Amino acid sequence: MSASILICSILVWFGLGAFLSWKAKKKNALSMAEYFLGNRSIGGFLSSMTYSATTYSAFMMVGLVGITYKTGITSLGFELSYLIGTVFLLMLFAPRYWSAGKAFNVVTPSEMLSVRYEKPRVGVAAAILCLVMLIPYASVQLMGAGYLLETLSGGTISFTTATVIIALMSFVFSWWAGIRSVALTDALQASIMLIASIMLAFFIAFTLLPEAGESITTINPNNMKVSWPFHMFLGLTLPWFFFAVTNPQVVQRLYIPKNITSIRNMILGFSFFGFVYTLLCVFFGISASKLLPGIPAADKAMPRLLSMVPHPLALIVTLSIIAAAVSTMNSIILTLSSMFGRDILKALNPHLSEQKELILSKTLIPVITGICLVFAQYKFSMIAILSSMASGGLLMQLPSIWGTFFWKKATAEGAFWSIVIGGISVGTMYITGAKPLGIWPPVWGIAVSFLVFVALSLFTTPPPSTDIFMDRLKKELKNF
Amino acid sequence: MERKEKYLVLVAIGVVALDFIVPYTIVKETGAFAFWVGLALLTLALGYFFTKSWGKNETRRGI
Repeated sequence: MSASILICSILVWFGLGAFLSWKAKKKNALSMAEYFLGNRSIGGFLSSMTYSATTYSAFMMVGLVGITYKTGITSLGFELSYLIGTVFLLMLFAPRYWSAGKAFNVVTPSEMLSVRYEKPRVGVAAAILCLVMLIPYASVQLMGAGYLLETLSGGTISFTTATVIIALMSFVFSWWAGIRSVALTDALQASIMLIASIMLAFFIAFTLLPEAGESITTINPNNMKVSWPFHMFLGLTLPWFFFAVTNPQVVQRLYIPKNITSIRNMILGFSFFGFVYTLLCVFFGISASKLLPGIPAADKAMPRLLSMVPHPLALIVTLSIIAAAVSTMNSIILTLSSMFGRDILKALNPHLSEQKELILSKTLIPVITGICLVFAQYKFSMIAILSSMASGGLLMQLPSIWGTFFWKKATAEGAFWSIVIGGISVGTMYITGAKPLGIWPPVWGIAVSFLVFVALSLFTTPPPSTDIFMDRLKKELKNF
Repeated sequence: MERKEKYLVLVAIGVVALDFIVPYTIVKETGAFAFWVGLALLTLALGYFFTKSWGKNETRRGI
């Protein structure tokens, strides 16, 4: 693909996103809730688009296509299990997060833990865990898009230049109006993700594989068997299954819908998007296994597939992959910035004014973007380990999150230590590569975390205002 | 937790159990694709019907 066409297209895309980001700014945000939650007044359509674009990263069109190419249909089970888990979790947790967020003026996911357990250190532990786990994950988005642009331009756009462009794009798409900018640009990015994938699917089905028949199952029957060992399927699927309640960048989106109808539209819109996008990505992987057998590096399956399609289509799909990376990255950075301000700085200095808190949190956006950029340049081998353990590590918040809404006997001690001990256990297992009895770290980690949470909660005293929190929540939930 | 939600949790446990057990037993060699797609569609339909009443009160009460 011509580098000049690629650069021009990215610049046009950048300009369009920057315009939307700027347009989203109605007035100067004076509160954390306005900048990070859009004053809890985002409509259902934008909520569903930002939820979808934040959730589905460049992993789908590069990583999932590659895994499907290499291992076949089990990857569909892995990704649809995530979708199934998310839909159930959203039905139960979205009303609770939204109602409690509004009732107690909560801005970040970890702040919910601090409020419920009445100890800021619970929120601090969760926020630090998220920062440690998600900065490498955001860096990988940068690296993935950087490699893609470098490969497709034949090296004319260097990896460093590509990552700087993507980082700048991520920053500009969120800076002016925070979540309002992100929601608007995410709507644009989610649209191109879906449209480009549908166009590519039509081209493959009618031009490259017309003989395959009407079903995905006849393209490459060898790839239709369940091939992953069960321990691997469980170990990879479990953390993603609970993604909707353990990953702060998506949990924070549960605070933003303007009303109950908007929450419903967000869930239904995301369900539709996730189902279609997952099927399309798996279709690309299966198709590539038929069209391009023998690629040694599975992640190259999508770039190689793009070399078989007309340049304009390849360009649109490339932009959609960049869009997926940017929309995930800037949402993570925006959420981490709010958590740093609300859960760490505010905990250290409770008298910090909201205006100063907002300024410091906003300052963190370019700082975290810069850290991700530096991480990506050095290509630390550690980043791969840290990013793969991101979902597993974040899973250690699950016991305290469950206890927040469903267990009156849950205590701050149980919540705090379940996050700390669970996080350390799972981190140690990932770094040392330990898999006792062949079982993957997240499975051991969540068992340890739940054990610590329940045991400590039974031997310590629940927060004094537990009943007030639960009663208020119960009253709010009657509106659903 | 309301009674409706308790039923939902029971259904969710059943769906998740099927999601993990069936592909590794009954449809391991063939049929996993249709099974996972069917189960996902069933869940999406459940989501649609479970949330159907959401927002009805807010119109009446003018929230």
